[in-house]
Amino acid sequence: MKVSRRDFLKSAALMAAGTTLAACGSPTAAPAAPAATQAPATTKAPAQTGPVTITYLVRTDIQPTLIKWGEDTVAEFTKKNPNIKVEMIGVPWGDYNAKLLAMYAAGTPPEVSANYAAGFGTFILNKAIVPLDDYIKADKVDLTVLEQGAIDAVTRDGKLWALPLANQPIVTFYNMDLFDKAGVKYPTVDWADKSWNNEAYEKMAASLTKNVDDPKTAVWGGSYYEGQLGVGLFWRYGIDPFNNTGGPEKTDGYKTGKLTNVYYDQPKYIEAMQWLVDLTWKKKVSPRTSDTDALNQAVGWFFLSGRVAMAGEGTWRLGDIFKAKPAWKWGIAPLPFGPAGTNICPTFNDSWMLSSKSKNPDAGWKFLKFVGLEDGAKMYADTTGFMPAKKDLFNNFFDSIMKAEGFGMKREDLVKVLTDGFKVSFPAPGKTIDRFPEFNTAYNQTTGPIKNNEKPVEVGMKEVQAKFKSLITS
Amino acid sequence: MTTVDQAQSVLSGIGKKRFRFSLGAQEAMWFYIFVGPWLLSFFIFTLGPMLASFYFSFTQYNAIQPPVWIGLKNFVTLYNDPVFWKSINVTFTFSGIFVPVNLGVSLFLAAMLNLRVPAMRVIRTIYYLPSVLPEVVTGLVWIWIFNPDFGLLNYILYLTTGIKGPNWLGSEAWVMPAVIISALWGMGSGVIIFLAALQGVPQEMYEAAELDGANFLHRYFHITLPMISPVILFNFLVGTIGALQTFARIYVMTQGGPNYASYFYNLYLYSNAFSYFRLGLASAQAWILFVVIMILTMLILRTSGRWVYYAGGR
Repeated sequence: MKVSRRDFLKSAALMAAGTTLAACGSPTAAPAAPAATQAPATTKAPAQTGPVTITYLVRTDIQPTLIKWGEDTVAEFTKKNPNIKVEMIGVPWGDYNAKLLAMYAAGTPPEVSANYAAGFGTFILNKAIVPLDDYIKADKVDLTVLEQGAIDAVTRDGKLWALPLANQPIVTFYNMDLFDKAGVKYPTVDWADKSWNNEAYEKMAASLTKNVDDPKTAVWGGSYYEGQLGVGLFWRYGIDPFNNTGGPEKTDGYKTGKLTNVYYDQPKYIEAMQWLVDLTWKKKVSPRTSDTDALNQAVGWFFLSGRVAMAGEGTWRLGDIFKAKPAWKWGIAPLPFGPAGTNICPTFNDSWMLSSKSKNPDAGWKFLKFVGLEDGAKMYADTTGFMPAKKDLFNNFFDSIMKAEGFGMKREDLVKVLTDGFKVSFPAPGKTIDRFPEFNTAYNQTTGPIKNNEKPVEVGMKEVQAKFKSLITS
Repeated sequence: MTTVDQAQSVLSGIGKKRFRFSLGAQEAMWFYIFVGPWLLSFFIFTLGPMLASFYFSFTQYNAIQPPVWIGLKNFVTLYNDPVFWKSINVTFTFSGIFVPVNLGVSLFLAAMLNLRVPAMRVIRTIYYLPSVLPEVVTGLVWIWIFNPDFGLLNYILYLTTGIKGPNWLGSEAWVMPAVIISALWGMGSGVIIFLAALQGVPQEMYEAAELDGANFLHRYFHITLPMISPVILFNFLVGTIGALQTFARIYVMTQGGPNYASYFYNLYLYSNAFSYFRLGLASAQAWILFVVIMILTMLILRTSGRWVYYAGGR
């Protein structure tokens, strides 16, 4: 049969129109879901009888082990719970919020997601998650198996809003080879050793620093931990930007989620920031932001370049070291004491939340429990390099570090540094305050010129103060 | 079938009139069948979201809870927000410098690439190549180029002039020049369009002008520019709209910093929508940008009658 060009075009148009209409129509051919799966999202949904599908949004950057852990967890869970199908969606940290919001807007939020980028406060504020207390009570879950600090960090108004999977302290990573070459003694492993302070840190960094005027061969003594909104620096000065009477324990906003005042332009904050800026621009023992940016771009994390002797960072960086397998020896130490005689260790909990819009909250909870308290948590401690919140898994985590390439410390020293840090820890603001992303952007934007030595500290801190003030009152 | 049966069946058809659409109705039917899928997609994926965002711009909406009508409050909030005005200032400063420079340099490059020299195809390909690379990738390359210590630009600057270059992306004063330079990298598509236009100018015009004694500048300003003026208008319009919508490059290179010095309008819109859970406010921002672009486009088109030459009339 001969088909004319006109006939061919007509047929093509009809097929295209048909396909479009079919795509827009409702999927009538799909099998009807069991009634139980259509239940509205409440903390107490009716019992599910048939197979259900839940969605799980997992972070996939930093290290490939995290993806593998996610996949293995899903496989193991499905094996034990054949009636629940888990769809894992991987998304990098930077896009996590955007993806999560897009899923909410589309009416298909993931049952289980994490408090990575925005902290859980923002999710409570926007009624995106539900408290887990009813489930905890019904399943008689023993929360004492988890690190108390991690539990406190996700509790608000007496309700538990997320289940902590990881609880990670900030420590000082150091390059043992650079210390040996410079003939400098390693830092202490004791969080109570007050001789390990900012002054000692500065001296040690100076001894380790070489050729700073030649970026191609430079070795920098240390990159001091400034932390979210500067609290890593300020807390060691005995101050917190959101109260004028003391450290973080005096800030109600960390409990309520709402910041009510700010004090960045006060002399103590200016003094602390000046000290930090001087480490880079006056003493020249710390790399500039542009240096760390370049090294980060080259090797993923500047410390892995082998050209920064000390780096204050979270234990989540262990995964990067596992992957990089450095040819030099490395270790970890506490944070140095500040002038106020404190060395408060900010901690970052990665916790998993249950969506308020979940179509299958019971199945979601089952999976969440598996991830946070059962086999999923064990696999996490064994493989990812993230410090677990579950205390009986600490040893699995320590074992994974002892096996890491180049790790040069004794096991008991490692255990001491990582567990004693919790005695002086306080949750980082990013995990507790509402609207954290807005405050974080404001801090990073306004302090940029100060840290790049483009603006006097006093002038810059007034701008930080003004910006925060306007955000708090808005 | 017997002959009698055949005759009966033929006879039974007589008197029955077969219904046929008129030619015009048939054409209309096929027109709608052909454009149907695209019209449907337009309504569902473009017009629908646009109307939805128009509604959201008058609501408090976070994508999680249902939108709550708040009237003009989002627009008032934006009016009182210094970051909003800063982002407008940054975006218009960039557009005001980038668009004319981009047009001028593209036209110059197109003229150069129109010369008849050996290996010109290879040279044209090289100039066009950056345009096909994703902005995210080129953004990462530019971060390295602009690095004050390790970067190529400051290295060349120091080698050739002895000047120690600035902290391009870390300085409030230098970040905008850096962004403009990096944006010029992607001018290849404009160059190709100009090149095509230049090659479409009839040679006999130049020959006639030469016979009349016109020099190079006369020929350029009185033949080349008028003849390609519709293409200049096109590149000007597309360039302006693109510049006002700058996002990916900034998101990768500077995140709007330092101190909001490169905080483009669309970056703020994106932050409001996807970092701060303020989709209502972001929708209001999107509509403000839409209206601004519409007005600018209309102004450009209105004034184009004075400087654009159409050989065949308009």
